[in-house]
Amino acid sequence: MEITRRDALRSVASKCLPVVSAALALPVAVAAEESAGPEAPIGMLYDTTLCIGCRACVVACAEANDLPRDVSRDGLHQAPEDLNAFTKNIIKLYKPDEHGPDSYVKQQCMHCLEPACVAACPFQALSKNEENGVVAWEPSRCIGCRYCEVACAYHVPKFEWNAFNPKIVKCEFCRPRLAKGYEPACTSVCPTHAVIFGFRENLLIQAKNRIEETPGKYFENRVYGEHEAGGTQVLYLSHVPFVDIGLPELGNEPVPARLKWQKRIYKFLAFPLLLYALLAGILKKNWIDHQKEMQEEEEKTGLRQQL
Amino acid sequence: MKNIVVRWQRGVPVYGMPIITPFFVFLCAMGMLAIVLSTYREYAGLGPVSRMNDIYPWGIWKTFNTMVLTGLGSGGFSVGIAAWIFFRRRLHSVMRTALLTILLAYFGGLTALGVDVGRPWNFYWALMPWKWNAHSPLLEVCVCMPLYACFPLFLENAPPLLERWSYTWPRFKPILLAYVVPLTRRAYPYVVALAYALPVMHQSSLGALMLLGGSRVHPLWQTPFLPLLYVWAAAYLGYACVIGTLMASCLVWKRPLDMSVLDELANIMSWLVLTWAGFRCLDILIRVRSPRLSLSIISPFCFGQRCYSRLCLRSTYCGTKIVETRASCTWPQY
Repeated sequence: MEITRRDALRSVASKCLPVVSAALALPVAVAAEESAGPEAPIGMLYDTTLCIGCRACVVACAEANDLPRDVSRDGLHQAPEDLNAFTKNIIKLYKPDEHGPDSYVKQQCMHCLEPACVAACPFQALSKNEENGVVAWEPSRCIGCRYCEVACAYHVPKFEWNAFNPKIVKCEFCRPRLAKGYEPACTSVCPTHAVIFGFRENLLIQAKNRIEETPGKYFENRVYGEHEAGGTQVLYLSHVPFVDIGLPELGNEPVPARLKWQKRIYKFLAFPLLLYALLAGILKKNWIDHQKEMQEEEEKTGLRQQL
Repeated sequence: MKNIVVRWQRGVPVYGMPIITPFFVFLCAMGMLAIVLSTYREYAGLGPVSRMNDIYPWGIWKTFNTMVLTGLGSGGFSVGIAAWIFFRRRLHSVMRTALLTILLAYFGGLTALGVDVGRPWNFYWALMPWKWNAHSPLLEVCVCMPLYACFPLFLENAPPLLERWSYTWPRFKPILLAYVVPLTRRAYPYVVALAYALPVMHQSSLGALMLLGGSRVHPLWQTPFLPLLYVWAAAYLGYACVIGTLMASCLVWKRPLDMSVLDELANIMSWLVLTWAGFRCLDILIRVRSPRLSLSIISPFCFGQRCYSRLCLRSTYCGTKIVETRASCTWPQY
């Protein structure tokens, strides 16, 4: 069989096109990785030195979000043990065995600037508001895979394990209240202003002012959430180590950045298409050889050959 | 007669075997139990049935359902690559077994996934690409795996069925020869290439799932190379499962074994396992500097994501050895 110029051109083009597109896609993919983030992120600032552990915020949160009472243990309602399907916000007490300062801590969704749950969610059921940065859950899109629970470094999203129509339960910054122009329930009831509401930028300045006024009072003179895991919208000031009150040391790299190579490889599906083109090319050739061989074998043995 | 070496050239259909055996009845009973339990799960929620909770949101279920089951079933993809891409012609004779195994494994895995997710009725979002979060590894699994199971895998498994119909359905034969066979011949290489590209994609995404898990995975196993390790592991688990299935079915249907084909399979598998283990050791040696990992090596419970699959592999090895020993003394030799 003679190879015409047209055939040669076509085969070269068909083989080079995926390679070229993949080679072009990689720099584009690497360049387009910086995400914009919300326009005016709101936030909370929690200060362990001010919290008196009254749990008014826990009650206010349950009331504002219409959360059912947790009567799963003995039919009686009592203070929740942890964040769960009935609790979006909780106050815990850190009390070391050795002599040392104890501390209350408030736990709820951190509303990360680059949230792992949003990166994990396959159908955008969890999404970050472009304006104020609230991470919210949309029931009509959730398939209940619980990947958000696996991905969240702070162990925040919780799942209704005993329901036939289960929901993901997590703090959504009192979305309905924000829409009406109120601040979140927990910050609105705090008697000592241990947790306050505002724009993240302003809260960060305020936190740094507090550190400046009393250096040495706060752990490492550091605001937790400024850079941790790419930054969070809920900020913490603590007089005990952050790890002790359940805030892990995650480094400054956002969790979704662990998927950066996946993102680069799948950009424009360039590399999968390249793989497919390669496989199809080899298979086409081997398929013709295989068919010839099958025919020869059939003629020789008289038995039908199989695929 | 003993001098004649048995060669596997093609799959031999099994006729006239009793279908309703005690084992079949037992499997049916298990299936019924599964249906009853799944119905109860739809009513009562996931918690009471699976004992999963917020600390173990996937329990062993997703790991076992999707990761191990599809990994074990990957024979159709890994043996196929050896047969078609690397032109190991002898392996074509075991492809039908491998393809049926992978079909059963993938549909088992997908059914289990449907029971495992909390809100399966929202799965229709998978049909709307503009609603996807394209960078989620789970989306890749959710879309790629059903696509693979429903399209290329079915076409790969079609030839035995068409063959059967051409024998038992005389009116169908002319249609088959006129339309179906030429179409199949033309489409086959492209479909098969898809059948090898898709598993590479979703098996690696299964590995990438746990990259976001962070500290939920033991530091010994939390490596950026998880996707690669998963594809590799799926490849050799596929070989192990094909060898096991072939031996078991030969034992059940009293067919002779072609040890040369099994040897070839085992040989390829051993190289895959060796390179995998070598890469794994290298990976640990490189990462051992991090304090988290060196701490963890001291800890006695170094179970990782693929511990179940490693267990399965070990049992396949043992099973293979047992069958091999039995085969050498009591096998019917033609």
